[in-house]
Amino acid sequence: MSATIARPPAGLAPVGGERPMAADRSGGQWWLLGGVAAELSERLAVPVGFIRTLLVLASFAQAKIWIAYVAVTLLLPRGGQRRPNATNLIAVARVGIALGLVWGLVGGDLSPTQGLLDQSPAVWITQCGVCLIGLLALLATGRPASERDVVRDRATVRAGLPVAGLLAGISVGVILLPSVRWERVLEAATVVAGLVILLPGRPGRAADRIVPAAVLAAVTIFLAGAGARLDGGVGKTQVSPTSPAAIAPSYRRAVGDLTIDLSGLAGQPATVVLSASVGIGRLVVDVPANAQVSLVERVGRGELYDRRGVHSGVDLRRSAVIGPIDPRTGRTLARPRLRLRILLSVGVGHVEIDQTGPDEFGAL
Amino acid sequence: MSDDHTLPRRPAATRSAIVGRPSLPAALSSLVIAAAGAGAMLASFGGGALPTEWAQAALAGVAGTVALTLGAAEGPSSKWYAGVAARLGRTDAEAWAIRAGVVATAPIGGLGVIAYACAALVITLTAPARQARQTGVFRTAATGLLGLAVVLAADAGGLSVGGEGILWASLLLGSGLSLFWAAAGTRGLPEVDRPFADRATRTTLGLLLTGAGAIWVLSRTGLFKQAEGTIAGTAIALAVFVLVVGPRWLRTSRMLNAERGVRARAQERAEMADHLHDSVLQTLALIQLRAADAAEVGGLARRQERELRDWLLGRPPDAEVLTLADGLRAVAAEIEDAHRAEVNVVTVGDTPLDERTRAVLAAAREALTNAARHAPGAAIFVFSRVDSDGVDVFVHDRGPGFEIDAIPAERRGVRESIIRRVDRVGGRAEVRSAPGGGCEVALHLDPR
Repeated sequence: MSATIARPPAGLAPVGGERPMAADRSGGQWWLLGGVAAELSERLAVPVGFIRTLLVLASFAQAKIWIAYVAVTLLLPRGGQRRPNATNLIAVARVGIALGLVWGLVGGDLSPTQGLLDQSPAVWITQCGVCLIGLLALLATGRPASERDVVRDRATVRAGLPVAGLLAGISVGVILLPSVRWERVLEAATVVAGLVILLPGRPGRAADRIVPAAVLAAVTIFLAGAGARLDGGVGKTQVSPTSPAAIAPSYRRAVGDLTIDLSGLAGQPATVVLSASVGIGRLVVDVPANAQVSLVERVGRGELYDRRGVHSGVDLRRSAVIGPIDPRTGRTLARPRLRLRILLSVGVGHVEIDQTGPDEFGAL
Repeated sequence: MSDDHTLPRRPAATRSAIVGRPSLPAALSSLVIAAAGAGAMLASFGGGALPTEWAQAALAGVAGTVALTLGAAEGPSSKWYAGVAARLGRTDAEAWAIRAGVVATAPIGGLGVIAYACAALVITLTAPARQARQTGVFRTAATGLLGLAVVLAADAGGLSVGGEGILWASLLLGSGLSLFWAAAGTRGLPEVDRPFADRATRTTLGLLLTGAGAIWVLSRTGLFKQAEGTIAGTAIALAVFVLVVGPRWLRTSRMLNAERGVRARAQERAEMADHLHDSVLQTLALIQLRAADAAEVGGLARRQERELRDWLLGRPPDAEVLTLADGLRAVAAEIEDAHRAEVNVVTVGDTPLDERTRAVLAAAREALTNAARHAPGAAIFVFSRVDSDGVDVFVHDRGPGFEIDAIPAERRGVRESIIRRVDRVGGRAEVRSAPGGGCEVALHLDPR
């Protein structure tokens, strides 16, 4: 396939400024995301718009079509090649980055339906601006498969491998060595990755290193801004201490759900202080209704549940004192026997406090 | 909106590729990424999270420098955002001083950005309507994001002024409107072969920023609910729409008109060049080839002169002859071609051809034929006058002349084809000639 792009003669362009568009890109259809529709369009000789329309319609009917899309992105050889190569990995990375950017723009913690404008303008302007420009950059750097430089793609994949390996290594490390604060490794790696760009290398290499380093930096800033601590292990766990002596001073989870059920302490005379944190995930604390609870909660990015509803956004903080309530009469108790001082922190995710009585119908 | 006065330079990315060192944008990116990592680490060792404000600033900085690196491949340009500083500054140093001033004063209630938008408005309304080179969108995006990073950092450091409302409303509206106005024009760069690098993208970005600013202001101040459904609210909305879209529409119209003018002139010039090539240059070439034959050269030159005059006066070359003057010129051309004679035609006034004037034209043709045949090489003159006294046509030659009475009776040329033909339509024809004195045929028609 030829890579020639038809251009009007220099000097006089037609009035109205018709730029050469799709019809003139005779070197192949342009990629939007992973280039699957473009490649299929080339191979099947059907309009690319037809395939994209089918894809969108199919995704309405069956959302899992996108799993197949990613699989095809990885496996379908591009630009007349006989087997998948580095270009396929680039395509998969493009799809991943695009999904992340769309999530940041319309989903996640700052969806327009959850009061985007209630956030500080600094937050939503930055988040929307970075996501929009990122999407723009991603779409604008697409090229027809026939114009992609396999050597360059291979260099980009090589530059991205250390970052991908590092992220994979940290993920494994979080599972195997739960006591290590892995986010510090991420921070150190970001400093190193930034400085490595400056090192002289093969000509043009710096530009290849910037995108993986920027992705690493974005992940680091995201986690650091959310205050996510990546120590304490992975997975869903629940602790249910039945006496004050059984309570650890702090509970941690790097990634996953942590439920602390303190309802077994109901009625015991004690003053308990505990802190709990989850890096990425959900933190739920059940407290007995007849205890006086002094709460300090912080969510880096996500939701914070209280009796008035859900608060969604960035850097959510709340200090409150709840209870004590007599579960039988519903009245406030003057002198509680159990006092809880709880410090809760979630990096990315949500935190929730449930008040429970001696029976399951006592919850408020 | 700016014009590029800078000399073509090798793109920074290419230069760095040759020397094997990272370009300036790449170096800046590396420093920002490393600084973001170091900041996160310091906050982590300090026992807390990276403050949200600083995290936002770092995110904008990283995204901005990456966009800057991508933008380095877009080629050299003096324009960084809307092109206002490049137009206001007489030198590069002045332009950079203006840019620095805008960024430095942006945290002060958005002052710098508002001033920038005002300058963009004035330029949009007053600048000459010339097409300028469009900057790729990455450079614009990079400038916007880096500016945002500076404002966020200043805000996080407690250096911003004006409160959240004024600051962000000014920044959003100022940056959006300046981008929207500056993207006025009639066409993108035809040679740009990538999407998202033309005015449409810049317009969209400008509108997104402006719209976000407007929605935020309206939702925060409650103006939207107050004005909703009222006549005053509708009027204000219309006025704002005109204020926003008007300047851009004016400039686009001016640029479109200017471009049409340029194109029309170019087309006219091309048509003239084509005509001169097909007529004059071809005839000159023929004249060179046949330089030895004076009569042939003379004929070629006269035919060309006739064609050129017809063209200059806007007379169609092969149009149907509808008037007496046109008929006389056509007949003269025919005689010139047929007899290689020189016929000079002067006409004063004109009249449509009818039965009477057709008879006069036919008589004049006969007179011209006689003159060309019997006075070879002599100049022939045709003079016609149409006025309130009627129609007069004179055909005069400076040939040897002849004795009219000596014409044999069987020769029909003069008597039948000239005199009686005109007589039949109520006119008069007179032939005056004497040996050695040339000949003149006078034809007259009274007015109706």
